[in-house]
Amino acid sequence: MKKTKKGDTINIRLPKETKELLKTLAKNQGKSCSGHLRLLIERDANAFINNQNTQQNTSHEQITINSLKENQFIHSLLTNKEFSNKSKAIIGREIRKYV
Amino acid sequence: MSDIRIEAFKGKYENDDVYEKLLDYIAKMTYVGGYGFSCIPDYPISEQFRMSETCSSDSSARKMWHFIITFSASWNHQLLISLANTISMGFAPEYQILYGIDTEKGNAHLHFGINAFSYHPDHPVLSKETMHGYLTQLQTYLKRYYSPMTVTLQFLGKGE
Repeated sequence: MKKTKKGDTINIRLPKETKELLKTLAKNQGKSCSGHLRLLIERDANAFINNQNTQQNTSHEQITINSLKENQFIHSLLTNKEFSNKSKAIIGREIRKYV
Repeated sequence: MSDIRIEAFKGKYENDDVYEKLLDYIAKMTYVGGYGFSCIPDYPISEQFRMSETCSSDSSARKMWHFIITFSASWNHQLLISLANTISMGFAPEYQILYGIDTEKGNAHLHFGINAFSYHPDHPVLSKETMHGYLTQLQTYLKRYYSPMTVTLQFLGKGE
């Protein structure tokens, strides 16, 4: 990596087609290749951070509401006449592991 | 003895470890099910129940309700699972519930552990009056559905 007044320079290896694609995209955006790559990286970083925040901020209420679908599926297995009582007991033993 | 008996236990269920103890007791039974929890590693069901208390805007000394349904005769297990599911669905829109069907002692019977705190933070706790209302409705439902069987309700030590 080279340090310049405008920032650090890095060398990256791209297939020829991808390099041409980068040039075209950058030109369409009115940016240099460096500027366009920087924009893509910043967008990706923001999307990653927003996704993390969304996961952290999902409320207990929403998590519990979402779990009702899982519970409904388990009940469909427990009330399915084609499953034996032994199979249904196994489901119960599995649930117990999570208590 | 009545054909079907509903009993809500007298215990206060106020201790900090009541979630672990009651849910573990119920989960040891032959068949287990319920609503309002996920099977997630590193996030026990007891913690999911406790979180409703943490997030609730209401307060209550009682943390859990425990009631059972017993039968004077032996009932088909599949029928009991369906009944437990139907009863659980009555509480599920507001309160987390875990049920267990005990087939080891006497005639197979149902246990229910219900969180007194709603998982909707702004909804009220499951008070004594509300719980009594739920169980009275349940008694009426069972009388109608399983007529002419007799159905009694014992609520916190008082028979009805």
